Amino acid sequence: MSTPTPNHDDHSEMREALRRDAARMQEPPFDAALQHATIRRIRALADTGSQQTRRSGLRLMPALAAGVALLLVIVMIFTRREPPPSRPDIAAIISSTQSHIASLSIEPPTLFPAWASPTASLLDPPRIPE
Amino acid sequence: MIFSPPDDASDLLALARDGDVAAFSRIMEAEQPRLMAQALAFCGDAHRAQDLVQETMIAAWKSLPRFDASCRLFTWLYVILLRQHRRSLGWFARRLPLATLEQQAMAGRHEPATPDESGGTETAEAELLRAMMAALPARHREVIRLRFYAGAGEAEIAVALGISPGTVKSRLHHALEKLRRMKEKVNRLRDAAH
Repeated sequence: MSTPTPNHDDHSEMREALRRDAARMQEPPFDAALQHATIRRIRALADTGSQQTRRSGLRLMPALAAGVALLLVIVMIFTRREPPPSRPDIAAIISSTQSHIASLSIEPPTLFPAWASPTASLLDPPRIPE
Repeated sequence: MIFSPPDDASDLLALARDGDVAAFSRIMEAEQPRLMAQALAFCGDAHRAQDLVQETMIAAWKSLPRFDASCRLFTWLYVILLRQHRRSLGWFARRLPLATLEQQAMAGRHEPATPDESGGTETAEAELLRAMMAALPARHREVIRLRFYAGAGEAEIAVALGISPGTVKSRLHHALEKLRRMKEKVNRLRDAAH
């Protein structure tokens, strides 16, 4: 919002009218009954407020104790020292792998069975039936 | 800016902030007539004005711990009074429609004011002025009331409403401008009616 430059000449009449109206206002005398009624309501509010605070404080105590106990249990669980994880026996793994490799056949696997090979008939000389 | 009240008043204020109802009551004894005068101007009815002042005092008691003496106590109370009044009016009755004001002017209800006339004219002028203020948006009405009826300075209004001094200046300007235009319009309508 831009701040306008006040033009007092434009509004001086309005300002004067407002000041006159404010000056016309007359303060009524102090109203003791109103004051008494108001303070009585405030006292009731203050009493209710303090009682509620006290009551809510008492209600909070068991919840607070339970919370603290729960926190302690959680802390105890997490701070208990767990045994370090056992390291795998590398040498045993290597030797078992080596023996497994050794047991494997070194012959290259054939892709097709002999009967399915297109050149099998050329390599094997045809047998002349007797 | 800190508006330091006299020592006695500041002691009472400190006690009241700590929950001393008797101290709060003593503070309110001093402020009640002024608040009542303003409430009567808003409501125009003694019974409603009493309710408004009572609600204002109760709201002030609840918010007293938040009052930091950055403005005068009366200015702070006045802002509470204005807001309680606005709340009591409800959503639909916050602004008097300008048409109502114009109809009143057409009917010649607000006679022109001249300084040397009797009190009746003054009352008519006051009635017109208050009707015009009722037609203002709430944010404009608030600054006008605080400036001219609570006698607060622009810096103090800014603190009390929690807005910048520039915004206060701007709102005051726009509010006065709207009032001036309304007055002109009412005068034109009145002249046409006569």
